[in-house]
Amino acid sequence: MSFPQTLLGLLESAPRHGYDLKREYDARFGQQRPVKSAQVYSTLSRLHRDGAVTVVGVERVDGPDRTTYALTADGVTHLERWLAEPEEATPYLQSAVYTKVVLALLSGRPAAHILDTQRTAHLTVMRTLTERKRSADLPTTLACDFSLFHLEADLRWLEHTAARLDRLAKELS
Amino acid sequence: MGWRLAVGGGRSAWVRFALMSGGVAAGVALLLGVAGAAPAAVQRLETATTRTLAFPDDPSGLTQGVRAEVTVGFWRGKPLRILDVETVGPPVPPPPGLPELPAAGQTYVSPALAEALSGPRAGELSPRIRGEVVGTIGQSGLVGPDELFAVAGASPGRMVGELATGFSSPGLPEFLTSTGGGEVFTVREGVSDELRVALLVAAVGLVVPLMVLVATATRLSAASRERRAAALRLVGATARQVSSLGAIEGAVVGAVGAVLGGGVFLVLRAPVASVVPVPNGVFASAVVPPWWSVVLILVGVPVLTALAGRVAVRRAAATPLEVRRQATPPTPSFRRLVPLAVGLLMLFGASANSRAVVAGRWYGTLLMVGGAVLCLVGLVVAGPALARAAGTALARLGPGPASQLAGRRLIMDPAAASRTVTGTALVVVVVGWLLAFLPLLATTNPAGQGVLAQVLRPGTVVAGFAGGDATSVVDRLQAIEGVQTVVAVRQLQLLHEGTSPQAWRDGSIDDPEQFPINAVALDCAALSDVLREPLAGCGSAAASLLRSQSLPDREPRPGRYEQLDPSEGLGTGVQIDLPTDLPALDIPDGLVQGIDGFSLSEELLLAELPGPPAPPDAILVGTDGSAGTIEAVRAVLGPVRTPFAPLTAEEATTLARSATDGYAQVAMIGLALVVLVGGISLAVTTADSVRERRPAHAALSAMGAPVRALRRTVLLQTATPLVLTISVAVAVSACASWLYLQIGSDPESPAPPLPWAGYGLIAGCAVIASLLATAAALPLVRSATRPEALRVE
Amino acid sequence: MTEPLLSATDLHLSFGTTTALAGASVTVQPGEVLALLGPSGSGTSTLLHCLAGILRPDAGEVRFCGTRIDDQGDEARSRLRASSFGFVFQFGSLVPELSAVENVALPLRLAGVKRRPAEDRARVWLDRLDVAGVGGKRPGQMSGGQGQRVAVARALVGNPRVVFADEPTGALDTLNGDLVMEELLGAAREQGASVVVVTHEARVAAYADREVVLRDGRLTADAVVA
Repeated sequence: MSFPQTLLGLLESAPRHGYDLKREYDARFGQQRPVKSAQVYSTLSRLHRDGAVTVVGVERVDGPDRTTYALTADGVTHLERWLAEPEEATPYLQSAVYTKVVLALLSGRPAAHILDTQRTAHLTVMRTLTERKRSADLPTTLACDFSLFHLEADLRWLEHTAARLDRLAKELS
Repeated sequence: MGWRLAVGGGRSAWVRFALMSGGVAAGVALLLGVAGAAPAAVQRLETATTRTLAFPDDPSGLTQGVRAEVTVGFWRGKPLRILDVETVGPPVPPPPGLPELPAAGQTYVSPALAEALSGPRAGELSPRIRGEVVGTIGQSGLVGPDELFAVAGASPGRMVGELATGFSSPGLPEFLTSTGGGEVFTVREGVSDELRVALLVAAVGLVVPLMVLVATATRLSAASRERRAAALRLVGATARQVSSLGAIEGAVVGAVGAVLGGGVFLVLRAPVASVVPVPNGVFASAVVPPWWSVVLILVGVPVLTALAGRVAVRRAAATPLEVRRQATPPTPSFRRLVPLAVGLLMLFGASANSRAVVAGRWYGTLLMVGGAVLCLVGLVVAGPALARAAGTALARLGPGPASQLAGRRLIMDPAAASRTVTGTALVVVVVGWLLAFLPLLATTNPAGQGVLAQVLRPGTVVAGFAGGDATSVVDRLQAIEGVQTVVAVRQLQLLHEGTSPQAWRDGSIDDPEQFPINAVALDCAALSDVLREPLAGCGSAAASLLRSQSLPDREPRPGRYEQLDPSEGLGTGVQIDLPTDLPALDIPDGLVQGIDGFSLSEELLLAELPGPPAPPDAILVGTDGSAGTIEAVRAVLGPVRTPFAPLTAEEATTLARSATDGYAQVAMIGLALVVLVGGISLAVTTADSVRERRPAHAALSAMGAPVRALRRTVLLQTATPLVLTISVAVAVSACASWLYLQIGSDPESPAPPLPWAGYGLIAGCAVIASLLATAAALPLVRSATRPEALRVE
Repeated sequence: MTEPLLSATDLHLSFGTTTALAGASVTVQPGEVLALLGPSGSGTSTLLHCLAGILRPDAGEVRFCGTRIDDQGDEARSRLRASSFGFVFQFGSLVPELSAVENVALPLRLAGVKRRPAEDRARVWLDRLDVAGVGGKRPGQMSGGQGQRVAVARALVGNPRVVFADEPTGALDTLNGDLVMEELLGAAREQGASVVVVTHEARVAAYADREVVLRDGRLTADAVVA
């Protein structure tokens, strides 16, 4: 999980307090899944413990205290190392759809129907994403594109499998 | 590798290869035909030479040798030649085609004549062939397989001509001279200078367009082959490899085409020779191209196509990326018009220095020949510039999207457009030259004017006599069914009683007033009968004055005249009185400028022949015009000595023209063939270019462009540069011929006018033939719009 | 449901022994964007050609605005295509000899518009699709994306009721493909034109309101998404 490193990255430009960090994260990366405030604060305290961030001030503005954090030299090193190393490529060999198809074939259920339904579902999501792109700014568009390309890859696999269902059934039986 | 590229790649590549080598083969077959036609023509002329006598420098002292005389007659529309020979002393070597000279009373006949003599109309011919047929004449003694020719042995003493040592050996004479009836007359059969020039121009005019056609045939699918070459270049082939691949492919096409063409020539030679409408036919076996020309064609054509193939990939070899991007080829600049302009300037120079040309100075010849060649080459070079100009005008001024598309295509690839039309344009130039020079041939042709044919009623047979055995002929002719009138013409000279016949014979009279006057005795009403326009003024007067434009205005002195004996030159004692006021009789000029054996050059017409009855000197036989009647007339006249064979005026004109017309006809047929081949290559190139543009055509059709608009585009794309190039060709041809004609003309013999109607005709024919050829490719447009082509292959 | 703008019912079409369509039915509503999705060889292009009146089906019928068009003659269908339809094909179907402006003006000129006004309107469209700069260039001198934008301009210049696009992004990279699709659909929506797009890419199909999937000349799904 790269959430701690993401917080370090957001802190690099200027010191911020926890609520600020949550808002910015949600705006930039969390359209589909906003982060919980509790997770932000627990992560910040863990980073503080490891010496990656330091507290530069506490202020009170009608309500709870707001602690402002800043990046330390260790934190910068940590961030740079994370940015530099590649993400592990994760092959999802056993996707749920694949499991469904195999099970359907084994039990003599119409496997093509599963693929068709899945395609419709995928395309519906893709259509929504494409629709969102129409009026969005570039960062949002690129975020949508990321999902679109992944969904498209899934769909290609669907088409690929659909074209070879007969053979698959034969080999499984 | 080159072979694989040429024919590899499936059916369409094979079709393309077949089309290309087929085009080359057609060109090669025609080239061989042209190369073989010249020797065949020379052989014909040489054969005619071997029928003439070779006289020593001073023939008067000869006491033994041979006499010979050719009589040219007509039988059923064909010339019939009879060579009478008489040997005095030891035998003389016979002319080619005969085992020996016939003895008196023997005759050798040509196979065609032998066939006619055994046919149903033998009765018309046999009285004209004297003697017993003892054999046939071989091919070497004949001009053509259809020639009617006989060599007859004359009985001793019948022939009066000079003795000669033998027959002429083959060679090209200016004239073929023959003696007959004590007079010398000439039958022009040899090659005149003008005819030689015409043959040369025709040969050049055939060979150059054929070369262009051969080169065009190898440039089918040029664009896709160019792209393929560019692709090869991009994957690492060197420029040299790509060039040599193009050359090898061209050479393969050329070699296969040359071999095929040779086969086509051998197979088609006999059937084509049998239908070529040359007088007397053509011996197929005589159409043999000289060995060096065969080698030149069989080696030169593959070299030419290899060069064309190399040029075709030149751009791909040098700048492959530009080819892949379909970049615009460099604009043909108007510098391309320079060679054409220089060619015309050279002809101007030749015209200005006409004396140098006539005198045969080297620079005069250079200016004249070089100018002509540069005109032809210049037209080829200028082609793309003209096509581009046509395209620009079409794109800018033409109405509708079809002309815009066509114009843009021309601008994009003017060279391709001009390649398809230059061959035809060259033919137009050459035919234009021939048309301009033909009048020269006609005017130098004796009796070619056909003036007599214009005044005599059709079917009137004219015959002149040279002996005393014609007395009963008139009655026998009148007995023939279909003979309407027989005009017996008697010529005589009258000397005024004031002049002494003895003094006239001695030549001591200088005053033209004292010269004898020439008179003709004939029945005026009968003469009027055989004319197209009846004579006005055939009165009852015993003598009338003949008047016409060509006759000198001479009024004979009144008084008593005595008839002169033509052989002795002395008076015959027959006398006639001429009154003071002779009535005038206007006769058509054509009668005065008549043909061999008949012309009224006399000043006086007598209604009746004075003195004792005498045979006529010439007769005019008015017939119903049917071949049977005319042949019956000739059969009656057959045994009579007629130095001028009995011919109708039309036949005489045809005969006089036949030699020249024959060659002109052959040249025209050759040129028509070139136009035909040009048309075929145009159709193929058009079809090919339609095929190459399939994706664009399919997209246009999908967009709703009607097929008819696409067809119009294809047509415009061919027609516009065609019309422009042909117009320039006509202009060049007219300009060049005008200059040539200026060289040959002087104030006394002004140049004949340019044949503008002829130019219009050939240009129209070329344009129509080309458009028909293009139209033949139009059905392909529809199939080229199939939507399959919309996907990138 | 309103009457469909364009409809095909039970189309069959064979080329020789190859069956391209075996009972395909499809409808296009006014203003709708429909994707014909399927792998190559599945009959999508053939279906598009039938809908556009370029090909005539062996059996079945095609109606445009309620009128049968599959039984009309070549001439009438050509006129219909020129007046009511626009086309974008795979890269390479611009007329190579004409400039961009002339290519775009071509449908207008085929419909009888004079050159000057036709080319003026073409320039407006090129400007709108951000390719005014290549107006004087020929297709061989443009990039693939520019070429397809010119093709989009050409498809839309005549205010068509339906735009047919056959793999319009087939020869483009994804970015240029997306841009071309956005421009095509944006302009078509503005005009109120329906779009029928053939593609094998789901990403391109996602631009459509609805997709139809073909396999072996038959439809596998005709899902309507509200």
